[in-house]
Amino acid sequence: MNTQHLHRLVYIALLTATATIIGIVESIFPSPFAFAPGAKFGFANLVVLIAIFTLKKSDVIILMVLKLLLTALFTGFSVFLYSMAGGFLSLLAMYLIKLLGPKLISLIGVSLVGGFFHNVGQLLMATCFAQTPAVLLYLPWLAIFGLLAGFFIGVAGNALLYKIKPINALLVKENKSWMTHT
Amino acid sequence: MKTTKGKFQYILTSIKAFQMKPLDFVLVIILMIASFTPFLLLGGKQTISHQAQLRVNSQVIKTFDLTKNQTYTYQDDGGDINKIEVRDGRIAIVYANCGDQICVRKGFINKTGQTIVCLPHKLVIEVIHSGNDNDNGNRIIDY
Repeated sequence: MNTQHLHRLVYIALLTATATIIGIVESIFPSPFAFAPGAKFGFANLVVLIAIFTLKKSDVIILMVLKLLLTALFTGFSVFLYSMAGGFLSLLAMYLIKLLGPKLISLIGVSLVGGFFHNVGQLLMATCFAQTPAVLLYLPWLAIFGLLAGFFIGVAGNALLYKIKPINALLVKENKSWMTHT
Repeated sequence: MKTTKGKFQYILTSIKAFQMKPLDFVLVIILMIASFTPFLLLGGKQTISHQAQLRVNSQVIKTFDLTKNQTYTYQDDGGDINKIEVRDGRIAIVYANCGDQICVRKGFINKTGQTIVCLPHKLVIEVIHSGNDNDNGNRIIDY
């Protein structure tokens, strides 16, 4: 096992641990959306955002699965289903919007989309629970919170990726262009 | 004039500090508009019906005949209480001990497909098509 491989494993483990802790701490607080138990802001998205720019796609998915399973051990099954729907949908959306490239959108834009679709996924899950699509009418409210959370996560992620040298050094080659501006 | 320009400049510099790109703002606007699409998809084509169904955890608890005025209190083991009232052909949750009270604020409904959702209690009241016997709530919905 060469050191590079080891680095990668440790880094994934670190991110997973961070994301899990953020997820658990978040689930301790009462849900900001009283009408959807289990629905959360998804601040753990910050870790996912950083992972997207510093890891390969396959590694990000490994990270996501690990994070979901670990968080589920602490929070319970219904929260797990909510986070799974939100997590994977937002991950997919972030990768799709990232294809637009750094010229058109910034890290904050990627994060905004992630936050939005995190809530969409959770609401879709709530739709399955409640067995009525009427739950989707909550979407505008959730979208406001999701976009706000996405914005702050984007700003934080930007700062972390740009200012923290060890993280910056890990940027995957094709993502370097996202950080060229001052 | 000068102050507004100064403020504008200030906002511009703070946006620059966040390093946002123009398309980010377009994204926000698009996503906000997109969040209203469920209203378009679910709105419209509503007719008055005289039957409503109470479901908790997707299990049908009770079917209401909206032509008869009545009150019904749903209470579960966990202490969740929802007081349901049928009056003048319409149904509403008049009291609930949930945190958000969204179900109570929804008020009276009587059109097919309209719902009152109390997510904290996993409780749904849906006005269903009158005289439809097949609709026993066990159908699988895959949205």
